[in-house]
Amino acid sequence: MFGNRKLAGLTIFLLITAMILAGCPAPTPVVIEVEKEVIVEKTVIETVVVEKEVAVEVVVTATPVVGPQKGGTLVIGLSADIATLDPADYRETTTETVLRNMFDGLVTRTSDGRVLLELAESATLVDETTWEFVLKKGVTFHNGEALTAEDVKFTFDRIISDNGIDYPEPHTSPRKGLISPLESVEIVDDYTVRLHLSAPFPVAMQMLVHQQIVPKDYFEEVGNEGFVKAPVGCGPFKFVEGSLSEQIVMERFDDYYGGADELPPVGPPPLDRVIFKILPEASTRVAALRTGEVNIIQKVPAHMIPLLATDPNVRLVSGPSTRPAWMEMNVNKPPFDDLRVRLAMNYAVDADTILETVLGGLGIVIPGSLSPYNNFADPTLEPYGYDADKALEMLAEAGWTDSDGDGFLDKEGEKFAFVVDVRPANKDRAEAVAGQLQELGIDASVRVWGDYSVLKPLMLDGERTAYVGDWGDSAFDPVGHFEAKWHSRVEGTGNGRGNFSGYSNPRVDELIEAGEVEPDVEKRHELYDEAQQIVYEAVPAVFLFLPDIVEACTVNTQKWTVAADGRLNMHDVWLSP
Amino acid sequence: MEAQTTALNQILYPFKLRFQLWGRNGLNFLRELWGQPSALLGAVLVALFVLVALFAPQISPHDPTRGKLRKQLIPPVWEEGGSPEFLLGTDVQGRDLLSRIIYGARISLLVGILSVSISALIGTALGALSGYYRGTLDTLISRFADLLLAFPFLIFAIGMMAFLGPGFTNLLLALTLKGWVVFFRLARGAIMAERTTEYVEAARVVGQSNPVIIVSEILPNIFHSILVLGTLRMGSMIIAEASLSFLGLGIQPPTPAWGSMVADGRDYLVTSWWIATLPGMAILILVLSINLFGEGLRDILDPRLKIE
Repeated sequence: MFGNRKLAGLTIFLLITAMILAGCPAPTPVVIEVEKEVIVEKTVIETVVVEKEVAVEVVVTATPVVGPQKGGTLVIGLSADIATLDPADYRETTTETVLRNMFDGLVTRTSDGRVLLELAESATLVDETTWEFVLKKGVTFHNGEALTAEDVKFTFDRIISDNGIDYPEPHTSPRKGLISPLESVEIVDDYTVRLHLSAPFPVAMQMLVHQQIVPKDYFEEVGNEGFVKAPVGCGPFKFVEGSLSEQIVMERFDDYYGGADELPPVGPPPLDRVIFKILPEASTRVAALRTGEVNIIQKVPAHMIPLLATDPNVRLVSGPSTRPAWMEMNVNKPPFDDLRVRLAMNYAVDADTILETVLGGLGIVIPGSLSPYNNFADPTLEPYGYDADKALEMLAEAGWTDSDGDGFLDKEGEKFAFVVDVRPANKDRAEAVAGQLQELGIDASVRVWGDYSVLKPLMLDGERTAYVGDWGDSAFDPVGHFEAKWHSRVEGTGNGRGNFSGYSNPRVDELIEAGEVEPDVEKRHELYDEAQQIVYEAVPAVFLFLPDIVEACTVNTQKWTVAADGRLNMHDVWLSP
Repeated sequence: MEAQTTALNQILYPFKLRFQLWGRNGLNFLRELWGQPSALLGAVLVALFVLVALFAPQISPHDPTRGKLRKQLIPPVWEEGGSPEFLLGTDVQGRDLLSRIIYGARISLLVGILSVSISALIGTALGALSGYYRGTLDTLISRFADLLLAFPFLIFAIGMMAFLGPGFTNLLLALTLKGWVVFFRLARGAIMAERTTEYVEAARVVGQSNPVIIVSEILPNIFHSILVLGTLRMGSMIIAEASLSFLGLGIQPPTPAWGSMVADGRDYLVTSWWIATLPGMAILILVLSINLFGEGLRDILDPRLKIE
């Protein structure tokens, strides 16, 4: 009978699980000792991020191997699916992480955030709104085609023109917003292009890091669909095979020009092959790393750090990320249309405790909307700090008290209840926030949305109440971040594309717009300081924390470190025997 | 008024008879149950789960939805580092696992009982209509039932939940929308067989109307089959609910449901095995006991059903 078979299967499965688990050693005091080691390791790594030279020294002393070893296959365990193989048709980090091993841009960024020339030999600001790039000569794409100004123009035209992308159906590139002031690209000669901007764009170089060049002739020959199936770039690795939800296999491009001159060693990569494997489940990734099935894994969950730290075959690497996290609140809908209620939420949530427990203490609490590592973060802002009494006081002032004695706050007969939306990856922290609000008598529950593409438009249309999420500022600049989150939503522009709280303030809009085109650094600081101050006081979000990126690799993985923008650059990485 | 009461009594009379018979045979039933240790064990465990679910607020040591983050990931009391304050340990939010499992029993049993009852009610009613009157109505309902049967149960439920959105009512809806079909098929087949028997003929000759014949003559005779099928289906319904909650489509956090607790603990399996394993064991034991009991019930009540 069907029921019986299922039952038997379940029984066997659970018994086996129980047996396996019975064999697992219980956490011992040794682990606690090791946790201290983790902290030591973390400090070392933080130095790595600040000063690259130190990092190299550490690696060299750790393993007495002289030079990069050629050959080998390196496998990376990614935490999420890849969206596409078209470098103009995505807007999230995992895809960029993979694609930038196949495609190079005019400029690139080091793991600590400095911008370096990559395909460009020189970059000059001709006037306030014109950048001139001279391309390196002798750069070839994977199909042998030489890189010229034509390719650069073609690449940018696809990104900035309306419906510039044909596959799967005509639409405008989601990367247009990363370089919105770009108006046109002019070919001066075969190796010189000029980018004409509509207004001064002080962060142009930081933003150009995110645009990768595609070969015009090949693209036109195979079409958009053909290109997505067999992409060709001029990066250190070329595409071999793979599918977006399983794995992408790449092999060394022997004619690689070498990448950025300032990032030695320059030349073709040491590795034969790189495989990006998608392993969404954290425990699977960790297990794969420990068995040596993969060499590098993304997103090590906090509770597994002690486990990996005791493993002699594994090296943990961490550093600050670029993704500040908040709980955004819909400011146009009750209960969060009341400033006092939003302020109370900031006092009610104990971000420190959540950080220390759910995130294992890896990260820092943030005072406002920007990451403290952002070049324009206002250092004078202080976190509101946990103060339950103050929170209750402010809620009472706003009319929320427990008048019927059921343990929940109410106002005019209505219970203080709302749903916190969250993506699966952030579920634990959302539940922790909801749990703390429950303590104060607010009936907060959590809804996990598997499909972000369903949730996002609902939030942008102001149909949801609260969202625990994050937003990256990999350019370390408010551009790309501030206007997405806190500028009033303007249809058809990049403004407000992630404004889930529905926050709108004409002065903030004005400051953001001015900041985007202001060339003077001092003045930009003033503009953004004021904007941050206003957002800080209007509290459209509960400002939570900036989590660290925690990644891990096998000990034989050399010359690899964690990058603040989450990128996994495999160009220089090599495997010692 | 009196006529109505009499009519009602007339309808209920055969049920009464049967229950009296059961009552008289109650001792017999218990003796038979005693003769089947596995069924008895099932019955005792199910009763225990029901009691636990009923008295959840009285017996659970902590609030199942509120945790203390500072007390997260404490192992069960028999493991090193365990604390008697949390007998089965805590999860990542610092919530007491025992309390969550106790409250989770409510969800599982409630979903199991409600979805089976509603399915049985709809399925039997439609099956009776179909099987007794036959004709176009029968063809229509039967083809629709066949159509639903073509979908695998869980895939259908996942699709429905994705469409309806998570929540308790939607969960019941998704489970019953397909759940009624098995009851329909059983009731229809049974009634088709019964409608040609002598006692139905006799009732017709006496002048009983068709609805009265269905409700008061035939149904009492097939009731036990439906009861047995219902008990056996309950296990599958509970597993379906757990699967949906595991996928994040069922009960939403922080309400404790065993399926979502297993899902929560999945990522912690290597370091904190208890979070996923213990609710998994609860599902296993409950479903196992229900099925043991159901099969014993079948053996006692209706040996014919043995070949399904």
